[in-house]
Amino acid sequence: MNAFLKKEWMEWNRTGRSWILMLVFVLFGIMNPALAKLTPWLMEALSDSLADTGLVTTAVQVDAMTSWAQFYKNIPIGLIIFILIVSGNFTAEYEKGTLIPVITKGLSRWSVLAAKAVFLYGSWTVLYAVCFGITYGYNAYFWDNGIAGNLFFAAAYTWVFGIWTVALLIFFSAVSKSSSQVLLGTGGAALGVYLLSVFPKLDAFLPARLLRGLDLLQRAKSPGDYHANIAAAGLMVLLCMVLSVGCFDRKQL
Amino acid sequence: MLIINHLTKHYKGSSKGISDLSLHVRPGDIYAFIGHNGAGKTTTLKCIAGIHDYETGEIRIGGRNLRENPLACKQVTAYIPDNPDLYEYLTGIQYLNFIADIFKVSAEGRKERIKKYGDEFEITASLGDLISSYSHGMKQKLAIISAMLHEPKLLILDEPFVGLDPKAAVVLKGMMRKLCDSGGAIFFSTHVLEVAEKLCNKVAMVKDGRLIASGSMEEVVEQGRTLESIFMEVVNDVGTD
Ligand SMILES: Nc1ncnc2c1ncn2[C@@H]1O[C@H](COP(=O)(O)OP(=O)(O)O)[C@@H](O)[C@H]1O
Ligand SMILES: [Mg+2]
Repeated sequence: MNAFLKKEWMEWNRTGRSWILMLVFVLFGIMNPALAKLTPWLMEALSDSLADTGLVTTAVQVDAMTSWAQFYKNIPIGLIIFILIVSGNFTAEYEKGTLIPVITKGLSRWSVLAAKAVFLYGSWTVLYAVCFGITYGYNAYFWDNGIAGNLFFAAAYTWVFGIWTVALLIFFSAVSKSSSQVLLGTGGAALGVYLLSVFPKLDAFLPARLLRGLDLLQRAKSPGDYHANIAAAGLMVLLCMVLSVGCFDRKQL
Repeated sequence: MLIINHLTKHYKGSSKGISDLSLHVRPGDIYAFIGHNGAGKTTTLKCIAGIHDYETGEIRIGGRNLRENPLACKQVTAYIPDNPDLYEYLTGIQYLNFIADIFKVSAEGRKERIKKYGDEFEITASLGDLISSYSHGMKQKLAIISAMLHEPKLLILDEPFVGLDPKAAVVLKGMMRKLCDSGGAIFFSTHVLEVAEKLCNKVAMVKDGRLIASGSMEEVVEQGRTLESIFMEVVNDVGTD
């Protein structure tokens, strides 16, 4: 399994995917506070022309909260980019038949799946932590993070949402033949859950709610309100993994 | 070394596959597996390699049942597919180290064998290059080397001579002989009947998924005839039934 992890890492670097993703998440990390910082300046620059049209601008107040609002707006985009880039991780190997030599050399299918899962969960975690860390650092430097409540709970919940999406991706990778099927399955399931969340009764259980970290930061919600969502996400991740192992074992390679 | 008893495997939703195939490959055998395109050779080899599951029958490798003991069977077997699909984004040497890691080959063992086989096939100088830059023959050579890294007892080869230059073919034949002289066994499919006749002591012919002849080369090929003429006769015969 370690050998396979090492191989994933070497391939990942060689194809440049690691650098692209790192760049995207670092950029997002910097952009969140930068956008917040630039807002008053932009408003001022525009205020003259706005005044001409009869609009009166009032001085806008920016703080760490503005930046965190950007963070929770941008992180789903980051997650989508991540999913797009890793969607072919399994299926490229099916299409090229590269798993056959590995399987016939006595590496069990279970180890292959485990290595890939560890790799994908790990990548998401590292990228997410980098993005969060950068935003956190700048916010602390410019303003004061103390204004945001439940900062780490909110961050952890959104991270769990990412883990849940990656679990879906792994499941669909274990049953699909092509990366477009994987994207369709993962995207469809995530979208379905998102749409179902418009019903408040369902929203109380579905993982989509974990993305709305801003409610926690503004102290409109407390961490305890999300227990059901966390439990449901955890269960679904577990279910996805069990099903993946079963399907991957039976898969015709 | 390899015993196949009444093996039957059909692809889902199709009547194609193999039916009731039985074979016995003993230590020291170089066993040729011949048949027309689509006869079921690759299907059989993939069952032995543990890529395909099968409906009925039994495959035993080194006395162990493949179904019950897949990992132990794979530890003594090496399978080289007809078109080697390797990781394009690794270099040759990274790939060999990756495979050696899977088999837990010691550092000295792998260094020595990579050097030996790399020199024999004359690709040592290219091992630092990306596999995506390799020709078909070079990939084939790399696949053969990766198969020999853990000193297998049973070698399963699918059309191994396709794409190899004449010199590499000679090297491969030499390696096959050496493996058998030291008590190993080889079961391989081929279209090159002359090679089969010269190199092998046993032969099996398959047509439309059924075994139609098998045994020692002398038994199958009678005096004064060639494997080719027998093959043509047998294949045509059964076809007109
Ligand atoms: N994955 C598959 N699904 C369905 N049919 C297949 C598959 N692979 C091979 N076949 C069919 O099984 C038969 C045997 O194929 P194969 O074992 O590859 O023959 P060959 O002797 O040329 O290696 C052929 O008729 C082929 O069309
Ligand atoms: Mg074939």
